[in-house]
Amino acid sequence: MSAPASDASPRHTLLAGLGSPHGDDEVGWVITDRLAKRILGQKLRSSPTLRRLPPLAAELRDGQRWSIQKLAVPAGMLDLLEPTTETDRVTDLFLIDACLAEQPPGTVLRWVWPNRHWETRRSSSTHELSLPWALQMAEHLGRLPPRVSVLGIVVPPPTFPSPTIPGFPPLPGAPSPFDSGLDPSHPVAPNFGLSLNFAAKVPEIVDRVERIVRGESDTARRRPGVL
Amino acid sequence: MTAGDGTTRTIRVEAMTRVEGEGGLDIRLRDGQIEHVRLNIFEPPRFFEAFLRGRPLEDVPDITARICGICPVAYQMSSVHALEAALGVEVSAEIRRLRRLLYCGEWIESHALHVHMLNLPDFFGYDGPLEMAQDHPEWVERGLQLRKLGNELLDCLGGRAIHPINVAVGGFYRAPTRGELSAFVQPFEGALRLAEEAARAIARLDYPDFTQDYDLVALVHPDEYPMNEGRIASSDGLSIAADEFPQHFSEQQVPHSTAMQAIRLGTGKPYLLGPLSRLQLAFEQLHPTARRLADEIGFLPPFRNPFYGILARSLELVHAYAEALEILKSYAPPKPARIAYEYRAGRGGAATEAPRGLLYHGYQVDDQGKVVEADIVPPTSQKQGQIEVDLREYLPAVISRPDAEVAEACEKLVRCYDPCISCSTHFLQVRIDRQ
Repeated sequence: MSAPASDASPRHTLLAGLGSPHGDDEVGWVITDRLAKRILGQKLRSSPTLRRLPPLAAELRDGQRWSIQKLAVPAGMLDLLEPTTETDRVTDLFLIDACLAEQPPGTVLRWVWPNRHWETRRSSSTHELSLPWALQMAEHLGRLPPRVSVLGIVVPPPTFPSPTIPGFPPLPGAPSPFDSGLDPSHPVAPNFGLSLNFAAKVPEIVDRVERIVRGESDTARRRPGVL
Repeated sequence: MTAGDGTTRTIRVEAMTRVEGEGGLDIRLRDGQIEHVRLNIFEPPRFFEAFLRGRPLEDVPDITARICGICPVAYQMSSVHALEAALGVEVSAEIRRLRRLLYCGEWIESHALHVHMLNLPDFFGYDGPLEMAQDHPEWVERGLQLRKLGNELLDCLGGRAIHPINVAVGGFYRAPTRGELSAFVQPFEGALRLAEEAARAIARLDYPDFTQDYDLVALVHPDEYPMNEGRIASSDGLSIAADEFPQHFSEQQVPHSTAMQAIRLGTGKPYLLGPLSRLQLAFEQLHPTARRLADEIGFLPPFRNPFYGILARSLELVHAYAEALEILKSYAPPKPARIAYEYRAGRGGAATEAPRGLLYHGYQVDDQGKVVEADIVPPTSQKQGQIEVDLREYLPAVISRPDAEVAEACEKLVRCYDPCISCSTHFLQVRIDRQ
């Protein structure tokens, strides 16, 4: 891990939202977008579906430096934290991602890294690397800033099957729905965007996350907990 | 895990690590003799061929891309070539070059990951890349750099790095501008030097002494290193059109695996696919930069040691960077980006070279542009039989060691083939015998 920044260094906070366009998994991007608007007063220009990340740039607001970015995969964090003059100055990293947990949807959980309870040896896939794996790799490569937190936004359990798209033209000619278990005449919707009930909680979630990243609410530091 | 009753000894690797997908390995010895070696694939079936039926043929490249997160382009390329054969579509030379560039991006991403993250820790004696990064961060940094540019190229050409969305039957939905691609030239020049450096270093590793008399199978093309076009050839002289694959190769069920295994119909035996096969059959078609490097490091045919797969991938990484660089420098957007076609009933088959080896797709379509039948034969299911044969041959050299070491040695061998178990798309057929 990098050497801690001296007290004289201005705080430089990097917010990285992890997500996808699929259902409530988008929440990491939604929160990051809202925070960019609140903190920086601007819309994020980066496209989260692309891994080509623009060089990390920092904006000075209220005496603090802020960088805000969206990521499609955890391993993107390794690219985001590639050693540059700017990344070397980051003091606080917050990774914001959807998570499934016992707590009610909308709850914000916080884990402070390093967290040795996280399983890192067996990733779900060698082709896509998990968040704990990416964090540990970034740590070994000396790319992590002094303070790292993962903010998990509890989302509702995913539903299956996804709702059908109203008015979507049916696909004729399928031999039998029993061949595959999926009936082509009833297409499955791609399920983009947050679910309606969960989307209503977003303003409240943004408030909570903003307090945490501004250092105004730190009660759960050094242990996983409910804020 | 081990179990023994005095005469039998069972060594079981419940779940192999650093391979994609869920698979295990079962070895049983009786009185010191190998009774069986089984690669157990217990990943559930995925029904891709079945749920393509009745779908518009335009859906096929996007749906089949989901079969694999690291070689989606291979599935897209084999599918569009097969469908274009069925429809009688011929793409322009510019579209063809752009497709090769896309494939280069995938080879770069896949090979950089396997060489530096999945396979290299075995040679340095680490459990995985995390452990290796603590002592050799320079290797991991180099792998990350090399992989990142492959991702970025896929992003640009495919619309996104994982499961690209820009590949169409007939070409591309949108061709990138000259400016978008010229931005890659400089980083690719640096990465090519990095890839050469990596290959030189990998050539200096210690390799186990283990050679096999393989039947090596790959695409061959008179003018280019095999990627998305050519005839299917083997080291014993087979040379067939790609759409003749079903007449010369057969998939078979084995009781211990949910994935099928393939054999050559002519020999009744398994065969090897992948970088060693490509190098053996198309060595002279390597890009001159990679070819010179092969001479320099003394990595020359015949290729009969599977542990050298890591060096073969490293050399192909150099090839992919060098070829991509040439295409990037001379790029002009194809016009049109997509060739128009009309629906007609027909059949088409095609094979392309996924990073892991030859990938065959065959489709029957109707005159309304719907898929009637689909046949997808991924490289990993084809070479599972050969992996089992190799394990059986390799075991005598390590069998006197403690069980944990035998299991570890076997896992290391399996990883050399870069198997992608998740790609297995077939399921065992069920036969009900009613009397």
